Formats: sequence, C-alpha cells, structure tokens
Amino acid sequence: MNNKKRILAYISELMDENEKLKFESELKTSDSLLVEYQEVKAGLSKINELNNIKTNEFYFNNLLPRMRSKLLLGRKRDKKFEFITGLSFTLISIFTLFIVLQFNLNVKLPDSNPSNVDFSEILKDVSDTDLIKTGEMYSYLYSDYQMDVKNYENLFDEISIEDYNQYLKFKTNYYTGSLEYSLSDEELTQVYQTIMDKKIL
Amino acid sequence: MDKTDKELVEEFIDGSEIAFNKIVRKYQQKIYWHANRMLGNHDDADELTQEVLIVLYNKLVTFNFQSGLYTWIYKITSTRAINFIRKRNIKKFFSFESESDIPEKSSFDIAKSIEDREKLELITKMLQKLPVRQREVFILRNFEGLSYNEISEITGKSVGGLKASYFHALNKITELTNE
Repeated sequence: MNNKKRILAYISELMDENEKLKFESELKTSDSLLVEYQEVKAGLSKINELNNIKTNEFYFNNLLPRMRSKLLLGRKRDKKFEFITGLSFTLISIFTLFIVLQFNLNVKLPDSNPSNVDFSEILKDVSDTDLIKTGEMYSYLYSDYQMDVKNYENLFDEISIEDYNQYLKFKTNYYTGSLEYSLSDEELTQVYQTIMDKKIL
Repeated sequence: MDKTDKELVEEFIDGSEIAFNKIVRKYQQKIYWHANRMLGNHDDADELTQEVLIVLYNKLVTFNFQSGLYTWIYKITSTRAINFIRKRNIKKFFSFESESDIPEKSSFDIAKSIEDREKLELITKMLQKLPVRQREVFILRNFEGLSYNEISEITGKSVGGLKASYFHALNKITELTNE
C-alpha cells in the first residue's frame, strides 16, 4: 500500500489499532509521510472551505409558505381522489348488486316440493316402445358396473340417435333426482308399477 | 430559551403549527443542502426539500424519539434523494433527449455571490463524479460531521462498509482536486 492509500485509510478509520499506532509513530519519524499527510489534509480542508457558501435567504424565508400551500394542494387532491374512489366503489357495488338481483330474478331454482312434480309431464313424450328401449338401455348400461368400454362403444353403434336421446332424457331425469327424490312414495310406486307393467326391467 | 426537539415535536402533536414552523426553520437548511449536494442542482433539491418537509409534517406524529430528530430527518432526506436519483436516471435512460438537452442550470441562484456560485459549481461537479453511496457517506461525514454510527443509522449500512465507501470517496476526491 502506498503512502497516499495509507493516509486515506487512516483518515477513514479503516486501520485496526496496531496499524493505526504504527502509522502514527511513522508520521512522527518520517518527514516525507508527514508532508504527504499534510497535503491530503489541506486538500480536504479546501473542499470543506468550498462548502461554506452564503445562501440566498429569500429562498429559505419563502420555503415554509410554499411548502404549506403544496401541503394544502395535496390535501385537496387527496380529498378529490377519495371522492372519486368512493364514487367508483359505490357505482361498482350498485352495478354488482343489480347484476346479482337480475340473475336471481331470472333464474328459477328447481322446485323442491315433491307435490309439484308432474310425473306424467316427464313421460308424456315417451312412447311405450321408446320406454321399453330406454329401459333396456339403462339396464344394460348401469346394472352392470363391470361393463367394458368395448361393449359400451358397440351399444352406441347399434342404437339410433332417437334412441340415444331418449336414453339421455331418462338418464338426466334419473340423476338429477327428479324421478327418485322429488316423488312421493305413491308416485314412486306408480312409476315402478308403470315400468313393471311395460316389462322394462 | 430555545425549546428542544422533543418539546417542539410534542407541541406539534398537540396541534401547534408554530412548533412545526420552528422545526422547519431549524432543519430546512440542512435538508436543502443535503438534497442539493446529493442531486447536484437547485430545482431538484427544492422539490425534494418540499417533499421531505411534507413527509415530516405527516409522519412526525409517529416519531418515537428512539433516535435523534436530525438523524430521522437525514434518513428521510437521504432515502428520498437516492430514490430521486434512481427515478431521474430511469427518466434519462428512456428519454429521447440527449444529455445536453436536459437543463442543468437552475432557474434560481441559491448562492448569494458570484464567488459562492463558483464554489458551489466546483463542489457540485466533484460530488456528481462520485457514485451515489460514496457521495452520501462523503457528504454526511465530511460536510455534516456525523459519526459512522450516526451515518449507519441513517443509511442502514454497516460501519465497516461505510468506512470503505468513505475511503474510496476520499481517494476519488483527492484525485479530482489534484487534476
């Protein structure tokens, strides 16, 4: 490390205690190091001297009022922003509420009252033949869980589109519970009897 | 007798605007000059000073005197100055204007005399050649006369790191003065 770096390390307090003591004793014995040290110190004093600047008092006298007016302006802006945010939030809430209400008014949930289910409505478009076919299909598909995929595919190769639609109608009604869960015991007995009479299952 | 910082802050929290004015008058020069040395021109320093004073006004109620008020003020000023420099650099990077198109000269002369203006220009030129972190340490240590512990509190850097930064800053500054 050259002398300049050592001097700067000393001034920056980068030296440990031993290095510091060694440097200080060297400073007392070495004239060249002392001269260099004084030069660096003088350079830094010059820089510090540059920093002594007489300032324009007008600026500092005027700073506080300007800051106050900026603060006031900021508060007004904040209030405006709060108002706009509040308004936007209210409008969004009203719009959301409107959408939700609209949805609730338009969409009728399935009637859970079993007495309102008209069983004849469900089977009205189904002819005896269709009902038998559907019943067979249903029996074929769901009575045996082990049915393999190949058989399943073959079944749909063999049936017509009308048959398939009929099957879907029956299946949907069954799985949505409209047949099983929404009917009273009497109605279920009636369904069972109808199916048995038609020898579906 | 002058009131202490603690008394002034307590009075301000109790609603005294006069107490806040006193705090501003006490620290405004320190805030401005720190901003000016960090940013290198009056206009940016003025903007930053006002910003710091507004922050002070809004946040003074949260000040708990775990550190000195001046340390806290320097912390706000220093952090915001560095953020300001970052933003300015980003703006410059994305600007289509060349460096020379950006006005360096201020519309207002903070120095009282021509001699002072020259001194200010010289010191500004030197400081702007230092990297931001080195500049910050150099200003706080050399011009504000703060200890490494105080600077560490302000910047959040370790004392060892600050010493190294100050060493590099001194090295560059002495090279520049010899040019």
